[in-house]
Order: sequence, then structure tokens, then C-alpha cells
Amino acid sequence: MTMNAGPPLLEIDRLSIDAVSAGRQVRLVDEVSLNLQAGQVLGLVGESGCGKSLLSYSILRLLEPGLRIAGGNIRLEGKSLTDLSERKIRAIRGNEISMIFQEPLTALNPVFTVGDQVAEVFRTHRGMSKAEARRKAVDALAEVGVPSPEIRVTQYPADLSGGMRQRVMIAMALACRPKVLIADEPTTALDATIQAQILELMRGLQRNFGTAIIFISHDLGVVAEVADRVAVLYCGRVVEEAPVAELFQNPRHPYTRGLMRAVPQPDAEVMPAILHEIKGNVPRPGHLPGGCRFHPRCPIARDICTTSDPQRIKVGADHHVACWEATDAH
Amino acid sequence: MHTKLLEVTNLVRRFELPKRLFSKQQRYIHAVDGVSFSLGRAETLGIVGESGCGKTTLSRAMLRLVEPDAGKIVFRGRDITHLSKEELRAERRHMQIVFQDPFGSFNPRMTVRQLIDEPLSVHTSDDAATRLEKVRDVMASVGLDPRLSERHPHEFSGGQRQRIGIARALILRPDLIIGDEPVSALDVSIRAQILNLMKQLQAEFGASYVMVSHDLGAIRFICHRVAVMYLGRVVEEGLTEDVFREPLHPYTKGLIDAVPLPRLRPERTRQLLVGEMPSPINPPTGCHFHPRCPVALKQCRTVAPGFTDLGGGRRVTCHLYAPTNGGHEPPPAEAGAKSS
Repeated sequence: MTMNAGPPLLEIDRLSIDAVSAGRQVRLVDEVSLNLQAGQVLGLVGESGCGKSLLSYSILRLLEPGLRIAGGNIRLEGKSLTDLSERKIRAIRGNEISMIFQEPLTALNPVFTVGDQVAEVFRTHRGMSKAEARRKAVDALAEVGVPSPEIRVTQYPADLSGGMRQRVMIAMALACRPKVLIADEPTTALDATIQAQILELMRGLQRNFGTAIIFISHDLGVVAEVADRVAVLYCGRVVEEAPVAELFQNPRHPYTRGLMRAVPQPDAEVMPAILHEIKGNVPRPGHLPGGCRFHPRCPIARDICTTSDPQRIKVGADHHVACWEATDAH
Repeated sequence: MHTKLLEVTNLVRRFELPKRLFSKQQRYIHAVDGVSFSLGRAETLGIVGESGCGKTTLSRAMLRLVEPDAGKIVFRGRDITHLSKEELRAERRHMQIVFQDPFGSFNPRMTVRQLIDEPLSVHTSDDAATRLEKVRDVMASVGLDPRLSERHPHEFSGGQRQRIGIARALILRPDLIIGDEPVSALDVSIRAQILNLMKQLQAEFGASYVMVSHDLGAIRFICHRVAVMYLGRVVEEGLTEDVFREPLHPYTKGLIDAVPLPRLRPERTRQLLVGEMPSPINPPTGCHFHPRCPVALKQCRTVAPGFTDLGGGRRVTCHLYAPTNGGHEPPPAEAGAKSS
């Protein structure tokens, strides 16, 4: 499907996720297919409820009770992850695929020192001795730009700033040199100047280690900085997918275009008197409109959009979109 | 009419730290450390800065929602710094706040009508029929269907809830509305709607806004003037267009450069700030910003810079622009100096 040579490192194949409560099923992710090539950064962009986080949690089978994979498959180097035993998936977590989250404070244990927690990764996955793991922990913290790491290892998460905590999380996630890193809004809770530092760090590490990253964000700007490819999600579907340069030069889906234009840019030549709006609200899961899911909010919707769901089509080299306007133009 | 709605002079708000063992000395955090500004009628002032810079405390202290420790506040021509609680309550109807997460500030058992009506029943003696009329009017103004007035807030989406929050702030026709990160919790596609709405309502009702935000794009869109804060102090202030087109303070520059933009940029020439905002418990000596400043001079480490007035409402707290430092030489070109 993609132009890149070789099979994808991680393949998400027609994946669906349902929420089940009181006997009622609501589809939250609907037959999403995505490929991640080795060493590539794939950005997943969308608003709340688009399913971007669920998608990423499902890869490591971290879905909350009440949510389940209802169809499709996820394959790492051709091996299916969806039907692995709990024991086997645990060996993959943190080792071949690891994850960082938006709020590192909730992911770190407040009663253990930073050093203990980073060292634990080496002890669990690499079977190192306590002293050896400790030394590796100091190295790992130095790698992610934590100043005076030999002092930091003795401190507790509460002693660190938000930016430092996220660096610690990144150090832990990359400790075993995983093939895939899933980053779920890793900089959303950080201040802009710290976010810029963390993004730079992640880009550098990604280049050095060749880690493939799935980078989830609601912020198209952040994705523009880190991603090689971008998939735009809306209501549980991928509506557009393209290499980052292509997407920003030639966005084809009205939702993608709307998102790009709706953000006021602080360094704009001229600030418009009225911002471009995407009208209406994001529909709630279980209350999706028929036809194209975006049609009630779409500025160029026509009759066919209200009745019939557009298929994903190829509109350029490695550029796919699901929109009737694009279908007709081809 | 060119009267000021709000004038704040040398406002200070500090928080006591627990005493150290065996130490008699009381230590403080200066959350707001001598801030002055003024706000005109129907004007919007943006207060930007990163978390911990004191912008939220400032927005509360200027209304005496937290009591300032020093300074003077003149609101609608009246010195409210030392008003009693009762006297202050009468002024409060002229100042309202829109919060970041409106849902968190709503009583979930109240209907939208009751929520929007609450300020009216507290501050006015209007009868029920008049109040209902006003609630329906204001709902229409903020783009909510008045027929939904008997619903509860949980039945609304995030953007609609923020419309309820704005309706509630607007219903008393206040002179001043403080927006405390009013669009930060909203989805991108909804943010533009709310920003447009707030701008349009200002044109319609003529309220002044103070917008507290870390979202520089939103600030540039909605504010006439902007003040940039760092560790409790204003480091730069001016007309929004001036500040964004030609930021003078190195911190302002760093802040603008750090914003990721949803477009392809040519090879970046931006400068990323190193380090983090230091703890306000032990702020750096001299200029608070000097440890992170890419163009710090020798005196920045020891001497705190004062405000330099560059005319046109432009003020900057930086040695690079101080006329007394470095003789009459213009500031270095790479600092983006502007001859006045």
C-alpha cells in the first residue's frame, strides 16, 4: 500500500474497537488501517473522541474494561499481537513496544526514587544486577538530557518539574531500545518552551536509535514538527493520510483543511478579523451521522455525502483521503 | 471617552512558605511581584506566560478574589483596594470570570436556566419573568438554543458548556470579563468558534476583557494589548501587533518561537530557550530571566532591570533596552532592536 520498500514494522489492519456497556455496543474505532515503517514517525491527529488514544492503547492491549477489540488485527513484524497470551504481551511491553503518556506524574510511582524506577526496567527486561541497573539508569537519564543524573536518581518524582518527569519517562521507555515507541500527547501538559525542548529531544533520540514512533496529538503544529507521515482521524476513522510535507502543502479533506485554518498563528503576517470556524460540534459516539461522518460540519457537503460513506482513495504518491470531492476529482 | 476601566499599580501577592526548622525568618513566594497595568473600556488585555509565572494569581488579585498584599486597584474610577466585603460585593457584579473548564465550576444538578440565572438572582431584584426573558436573550446571544434551557450541563458538549459559561458571565452586562484560559480545554475546531464569539460579544456589549492564556495564537487574535509575565513580573508590554511582529524581550521571542505551527516552515531560524523557569522560592538574582537568556549581559546577573518605556505603550524590562546601560548605543541588532 505504501511506497516504502519492505513490509511494515507495525501493521494495524482493519482494526475496530467497541465499547460495551449494559448490553449496548458502540463502535469507537471503525476499521482503521495504518502502517508504521521502521525508523519512521507516524503522527495521529484528531480531536477528542476520534479514537486516537484507544487505537494506541489497543496495540499493547491496554484497553480499559468495557472496551474491546471487535475486529481486525495488529501485527508486529508480521506476528499478530491481538491473540497473544497476557504473558507474551507483557514481554513485549516496554521491551519491543513501549509507551509514554501525557501526564508523567500519574505514570511514575511517587514512593520510589527516579533511579529505582529507571533501574527496574533494566532489571525486569534485561535481568541486570542491582548495581549494574543503577549505573545504566544514570546513563539513561544523561541520554535524555537530565542534568546531574547521579543526583536525580536519588530524587522522587515529586521533586522534578513536569519537563524533567517527561524526560524520565522517555528514558524508561527507550531503556530497552524498543522497536516502537507510542507517545500519547507526550507534551500536551508541558509549557511551550519545555514542549519545544522535549520535541527536539525526541527527534534526536529517534534519529540516533532508529526507533519508530507513533505520535498522538490533538495539535497539528506538534505533528508538523515531529512526524514523517500523518494520519488524520475523525470519529473513529482515518479521513486522510499522507507524508507530512504533502499533507500540509496539499490537504485534501475539508476537515484537515479546516483544522489547519482554525488555528490562529502567533507569527502570522496578518491576523484575520474572524477565524475560520468548523461549524457544529464533534458528534458523540453512538450518535454518528449517516453517510460521511463529517458531512454535517462540512462546508462542501452535497447530497451524496449525506447518504453514502466515501471510500478511501489514493490521490497522490502515498496520499490517501476519504472524501467524495476527492473521489470525483479522480 | 478615554477613561480607564481598571488601573492596577504595583500589585503584590505573596504566599507564605512554611518556616524552616530553627529559622525565625519568614520566607515568601512572590507570585505577583509589583505588577502595574491599565485597561481601557472595550479593550482586551492579554496576560501570557508559562505555568507558575503568576498570571492566574494576578487575574484573581486584580479583582481581590485573592487579597493582594500591596498595591492599588482602581476599578470604574473607584479605589477598591480597601473596600469592605459588603462594598466589594456590589462591585462584583461588574466583573465576571470565564473559567477554563466550565463544567468543573457548574453545579451538575442545576439546569442551564438556573446556572445562567444565578448571578441575576444574586445581584438584581428582577422578577422571575424578567429574569427568564434575560436568560433566553443571553442564550441566543452566545449561540445556544433557548429551548434547551431546562437541560443539564452534562448533556452539552465542551464547546456548548463554554457558551453557557460565557452566558453566565455576560448576563449582568459586566464592564469587565476575565477569561482564564477560556479556550484551552476545547477541541481545536471549537476553539475558533469560541474566540470568534468572544470578539463579537465585545463589539456588541462593549465589555473589557482580561485574557489569561498560554495560547499565543489566541492572544494575538483577540487582544489589543498584551503583557508577558515571567516569575511574577511583567517583562514586556505593548500593543499586540507590535509585540508579536517585533518582540523585544528575549523571553518573548523564545516564547513565540516555541509555538509549534500547523504548517511547513522553512529551515527553522528560531531560537529554543534552554532550561526551565526557576523556582519562585529562590528566584535568580538580577534579571530573573538571565540564566535562560541567550543574550544576557554581565549586569543581568546582578542588577534587576527596570521598565524602559519605548513609547506607544511599549514597555520592556531588559537591560538591552535601558538607556542608562551601555551609554547611548542602540541595543545589539540581533536582539531585534527598534529605534524609537
